[in-house]
Amino acid sequence: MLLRLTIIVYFCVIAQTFAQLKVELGETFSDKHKRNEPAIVYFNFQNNDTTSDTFVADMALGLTFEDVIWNGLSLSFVSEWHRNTQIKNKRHVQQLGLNLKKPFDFQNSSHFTLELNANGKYSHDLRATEGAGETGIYSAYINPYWSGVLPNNFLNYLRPGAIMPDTTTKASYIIQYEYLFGGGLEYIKHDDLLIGNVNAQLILYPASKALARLLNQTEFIKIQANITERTNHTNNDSLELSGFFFSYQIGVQYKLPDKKGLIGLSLDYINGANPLIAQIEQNYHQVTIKTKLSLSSNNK
Amino acid sequence: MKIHFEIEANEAPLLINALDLALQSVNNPAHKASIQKIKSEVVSDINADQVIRNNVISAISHWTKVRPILTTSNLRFGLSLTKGFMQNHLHQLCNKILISISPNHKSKVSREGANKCETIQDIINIIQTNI
Repeated sequence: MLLRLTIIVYFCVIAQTFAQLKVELGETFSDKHKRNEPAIVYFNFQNNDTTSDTFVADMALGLTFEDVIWNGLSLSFVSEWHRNTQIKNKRHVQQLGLNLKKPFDFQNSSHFTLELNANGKYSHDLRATEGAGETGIYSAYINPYWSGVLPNNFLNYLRPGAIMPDTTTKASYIIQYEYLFGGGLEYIKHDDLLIGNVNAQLILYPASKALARLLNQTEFIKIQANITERTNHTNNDSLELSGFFFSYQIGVQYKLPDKKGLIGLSLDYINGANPLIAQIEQNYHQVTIKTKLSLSSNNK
Repeated sequence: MKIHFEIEANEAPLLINALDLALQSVNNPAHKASIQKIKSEVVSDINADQVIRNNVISAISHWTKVRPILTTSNLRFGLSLTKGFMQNHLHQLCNKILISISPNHKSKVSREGANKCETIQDIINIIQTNI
């Protein structure tokens, strides 16, 4: 614990020293969508000797260099920690690696952008038998965006990454939505496992306009659903690590001033396998405290 | 001496009126010249603020179909500007305006700084801090 705190302090000091550098605390850097999600922390220490303590954590600490070498290229040194003692197939994974993010903008009228998100990580599953839990994990994903407006009004409503409908419409009093999708490849070296990944995320913001007026918090209530389909492209029959993954989160969150991050409480449902954090096929509900912090050395 | 302070847009006419009253009540020509100089500085700042606001609203109008665009408009929830625009284009837009109104600006708007903007007023503020 002391070592982790020392690393966090060390990251913060470095980030405040150099320009164009920031420290991010989130859920994971591997998944483009989850990168912007808050870290999950939950623990429950039991007084009763017959029941074990509960500990849930999905945390990623990243030290990010913006606009390095190439305009728009960001490079992050990432340390991730995924632990869950609450579920039947417990997990405890520590990871260390690099994340690279680069948008490729197509200079047409709608500014179509493809964003590349690549990762290379050393992963250590502490619950696996000796040697078997250590592996390299490599992944690369592509996510499309339209930054500009599309000539067709209907298509405009379907732009990934845009929150619709806008607040000039009556519908925005009831709900606003946003969706993102992408795909890529994942490779797990120890199992020689190549996995195809197609994913989508839908986020709903109920009563966002009213909440903005009442609390000055547009994202106070957030409902989020994630779908990932993984297909195994190797002869290695690790079917329990691929297949359909579905999760949703219903929660409340409070954004800290100056975009420094947020804190929240959420009911999560997870169903499926996630080979990137050694989570095999299972489904469960959990209530978690979430936090996202971002410390930047350059606020201009 | 350099004195820097911030007032709301609707308080600006009040400040001008107060300076006009001070000009009328002062007889000393040296004091009158000083107040006149302060007034011209304030008027210049007010005009600069309006120039930035007009530039920002005009530039943003190419990226959204939502009208009207107000200084209080939320960029993502109100104007439906995409995540891609916020992350990859907003800092470029800010820097173009910065160069056009102040060729000798002291610094550039960073990608991270622009991405933190939530309203049109935030964009105006971030440009002002870099002039």
